[in-house]
Amino acid sequence: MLTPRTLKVRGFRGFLNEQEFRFDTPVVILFGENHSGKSSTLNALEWCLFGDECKGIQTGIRERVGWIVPNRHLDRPDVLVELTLDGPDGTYRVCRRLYKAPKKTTLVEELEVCLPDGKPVEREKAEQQLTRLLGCSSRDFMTTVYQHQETIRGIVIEKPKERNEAIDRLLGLSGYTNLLSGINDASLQRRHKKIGKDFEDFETRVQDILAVWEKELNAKRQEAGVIGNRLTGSGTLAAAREVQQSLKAFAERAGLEPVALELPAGWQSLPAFEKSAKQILSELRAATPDLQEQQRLLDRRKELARLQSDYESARTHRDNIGKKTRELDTEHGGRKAVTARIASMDQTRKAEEARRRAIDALAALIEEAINYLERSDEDGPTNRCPVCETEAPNLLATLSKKLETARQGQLNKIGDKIEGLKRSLEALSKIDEAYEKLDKQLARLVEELSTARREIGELLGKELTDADDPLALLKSELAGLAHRLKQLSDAVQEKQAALQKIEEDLDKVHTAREILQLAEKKQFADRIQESPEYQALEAARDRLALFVADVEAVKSALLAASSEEAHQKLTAAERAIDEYFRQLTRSPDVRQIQLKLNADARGRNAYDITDQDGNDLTPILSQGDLNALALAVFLGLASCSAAVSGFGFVLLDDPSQSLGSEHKKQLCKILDRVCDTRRVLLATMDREFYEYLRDGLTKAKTEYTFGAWTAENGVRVGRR
Amino acid sequence: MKTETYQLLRRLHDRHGPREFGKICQKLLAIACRLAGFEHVVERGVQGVDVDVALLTERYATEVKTTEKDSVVFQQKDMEGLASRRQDGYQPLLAVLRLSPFSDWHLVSIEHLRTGNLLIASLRPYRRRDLEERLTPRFDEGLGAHFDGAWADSQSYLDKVLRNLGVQVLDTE
Repeated sequence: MLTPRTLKVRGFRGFLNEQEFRFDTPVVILFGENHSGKSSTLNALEWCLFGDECKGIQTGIRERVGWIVPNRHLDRPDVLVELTLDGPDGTYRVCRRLYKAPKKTTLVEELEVCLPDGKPVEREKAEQQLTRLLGCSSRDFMTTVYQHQETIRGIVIEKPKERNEAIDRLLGLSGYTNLLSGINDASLQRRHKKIGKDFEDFETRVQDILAVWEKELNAKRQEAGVIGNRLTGSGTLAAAREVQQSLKAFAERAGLEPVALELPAGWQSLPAFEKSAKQILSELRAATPDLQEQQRLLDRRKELARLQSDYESARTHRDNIGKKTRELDTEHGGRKAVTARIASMDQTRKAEEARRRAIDALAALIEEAINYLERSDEDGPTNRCPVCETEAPNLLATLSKKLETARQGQLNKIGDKIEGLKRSLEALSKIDEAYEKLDKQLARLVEELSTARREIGELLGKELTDADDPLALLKSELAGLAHRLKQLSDAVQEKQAALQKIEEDLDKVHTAREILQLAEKKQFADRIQESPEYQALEAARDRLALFVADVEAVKSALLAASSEEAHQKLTAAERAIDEYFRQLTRSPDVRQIQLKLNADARGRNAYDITDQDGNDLTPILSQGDLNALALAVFLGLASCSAAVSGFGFVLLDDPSQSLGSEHKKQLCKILDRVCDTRRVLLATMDREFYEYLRDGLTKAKTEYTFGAWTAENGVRVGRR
Repeated sequence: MKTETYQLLRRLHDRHGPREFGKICQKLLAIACRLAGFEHVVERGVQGVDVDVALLTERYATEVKTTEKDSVVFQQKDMEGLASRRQDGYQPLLAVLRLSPFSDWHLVSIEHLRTGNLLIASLRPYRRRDLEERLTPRFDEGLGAHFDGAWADSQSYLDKVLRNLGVQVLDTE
C-alpha cells in the first residue's frame, strides 16, 4: 500500500515559500484557524498526484470550480509540490510543477516521477507511471482516501444512482463501474438495433419495389392471359419463332423479297428481334403488290372521275349556252336580224338628223328675210305684202311668229324620233353583246370539251373519233375499275388481316418478354443475397451479434464480480461501520446500522443504509447523525484492511464538523482504531477536537500548527 | 429467402392475416421437416410445443414464431414447454421467421436465450445453420407445391397434406 513520507510545497495556493512536511508517524495533525493553509496542504498532496483532475465541476465539490492552483500574490507563478511515497517496491518521488515560462503567456505543467531504482521519468511517461501506481481516478481518491466533507456526505444523501456509485468507489469497485459505464457508453445494443433497423429500412424498400413490380407483373399477366407462372423463356422464344416463320411465309406468298429476320438465342435478346419484326411488318404492308395495284387503280379512278366530271360540266355549260342563244333567237330573230335592225335604225337616225339640220337652215333663211324686210321699212312697220302688195297688217310680226311655231313643231318631232331611235339602238346593242358573250363562252367550252376528249382518249389509251361517246367510255371504264378494286380490296384485306395476326402474335411475344423481364427483375433480391458481398455482410452481422452477446456476457460477469466483491467488502466492514456509527451517534433508536447490497434495474450495485428493522436511515437522521454516518462508512471501510484501495493512508479535512463534544471524543477513539491499518493525515481548526486528538490518540503523532496566513508571508507552519 | 418464397408468403400473409399466417408457416415447416427426411413429425395446433421432429437419435422440439417486426416475444411458457421436452431427448429450438425479403428461418438453440422480447438479430450467434440449410430448401419446395391449397383452404388443406405425409397432426378436433 502507498503511504506518504514527505511533502514539499511551494507557490501552491496559500503557500509562498517552500514548506516541508513529514508524514512518518501513524498520525499527522494539521491544526490552525480557518484560512491558515491546512486544507491547502492536503490539496497539495492531492494535486501532486492528480494534477488538474482534482479541479473543476467533475470533482463534485463546489469550491473546486474555478480553483486557482498558483499563489495569486506571486509576480510569476511557480508552483512546486513534491511528494515521496513508500510503495510495495520502494520509495517513489512525485514532483509536479506549474510555472510561467519566459516569453509565454500560458502556464506550463511538468511532472516527474522518480522510481524506486532512482530512475526519473517525465511528462507522459511520468503520467502513465503515476496512473499505474495509483490505480484510481481523482474522483475515486476523493471518496476512498480523501474524506472531503462534501463528497463523503454525498454517500448518504445524494440521489440513489450517485450514492450507489459513490459507495462503489468507496469500496474500490470503480474499476468495474468504469468498465460497465464504458460498455454502456458504447451503446452496443442500441447500435446493434440501429444496424438492424437500417437493414429493415433497406428490406422495406426492397419489399416496396417488389410489390410494385408484382402489381405490374400481374397486370401484364392478365393482359396477356397468362396464368400463374407458366410463362417460360423457351415458350416465348417459340412464339417468336412462329412470328418469324409467319413473316417469311407471307413474303413468299406475296412474291416479295425473302424476309431476313434472325431469331435470338435467348429471350433476353428479343427486343432487337421485336424491333426488326415491326420494321418488316411495316415494310410488308407497304410493299404488298395488291396494295400497290389497288393504289394505282384508285389513282386512275380518281383521274377518270375528274375527267368525267369536267367533261360533263363543260357539256352542260355548252348546252345551257345553246339554250340561251336559242331563246335570244326566238325573241330577236337571230343575231343577223339584230345586226340588220341596228344598221337600219342607225341610217334612219342619221336621215332624221340631216332633216333637222335642213329645217334649221330654212328657218334661218326665212328669219334672215324677215329681218331684212324689217330693216328696209324705214317708215315703220308696213301693213302690205311686199310680194303681192295686198293689205297685210302686222305681216312681219305674224310671219316671224308663224315661222317660229312651224320650226319648233317640226324640230320637236324630229328630235323625239331621234331619241327613240337611240334607245332602240342601245337595246339592240346589248342584245348583240349578249350574243357576242355567248359566242365566246361557247367557243371556250368547245375547246374544253375538245381537250377533255383528248385527255379521255389518252387515259383510255385510244384515239376518240366523233363516233365515240367519251362519257359512255368513261363510265364503262369506271365500272370495270370498281369491279377490279373490289377484288383487290378483298385481297388486300385478307393480307392485312394476315399481317395483323402476325403483329398480334408479335405483341404477345413482346408482352411475354416483358413479363419474363419483370419476373427476372424481381430476382434481384436473390442475386443480392447470393452475392459474396451480401454473404460477407451476413457474416459480419453474425460476428457483430456474437460480439454484442459476448459483451453482454462480460457485462453480466462484471456486474456479478462487482456485486460479489462489494458483498465481501461490506461483510468485512459492516461490523466496523455499525460500531463506528453507534459509537459516534449513540442514537437510542439505532441499535444497528446495516449496509445492504441489492441490484438496481440495470443490475448495478445498489445500497440501502438501514437500521436494525430495515428502515432507511437517511430521511430520519439529523445533520450530525448524517455526518457521523458518512464518517462511519468512510472510516469503517478504511479501517478494514481487506476492504478498499491500495492507499495506506486517509486524509481527513475537518472531520468534526457538525459533531458535538461527545461525538468528537468518540471520533477520536475511532481514529485511534483506524490508525491500526491506515496512516491518518488530519486537518482541523477545532481546538476541542485537537485537544481530544492529542490526548486520546494512542499512536505516535506529528503535529503541524498553522499560523495566521498573510499575503506577504503565505502559510506559516510550525512543527510540534 | 428466395424472392419467390417471400412473395408467396407475403400473399398468404396478406390473404389470411398474421395469426393464421403463423399457423400456416408452422404447418409448412412441419412439411419441410418431413420432406427433409425426419421420420417422426408431430405438429400441434393446440397448446404446447409446436413441432416435434425426430430421425433416429436426432430429435428437436420447436416453438415457431413468425413476425414482420425485428423482434419476437419468447414467453416463459414457451421456454418451459420446450424445456419439458428435454426429458424425452428432444433438443429445444426456437424457429423464427421474419416476413422480409432478406430473412430466413432462424432455428435457434434456446440455451442462451432469455425470455421476453428478443431482437431477431441477437439470435444469430445461436442459430443452427446445419438445420437451417437442411430445412430451408424443403420449405421453399413445400410452399411452392402447396401454395394454391394454402391460399384457398389454409390450415385445413395443409393438415390433409401433413396427414398424407404421415405427420401426426394434433389439433382441436
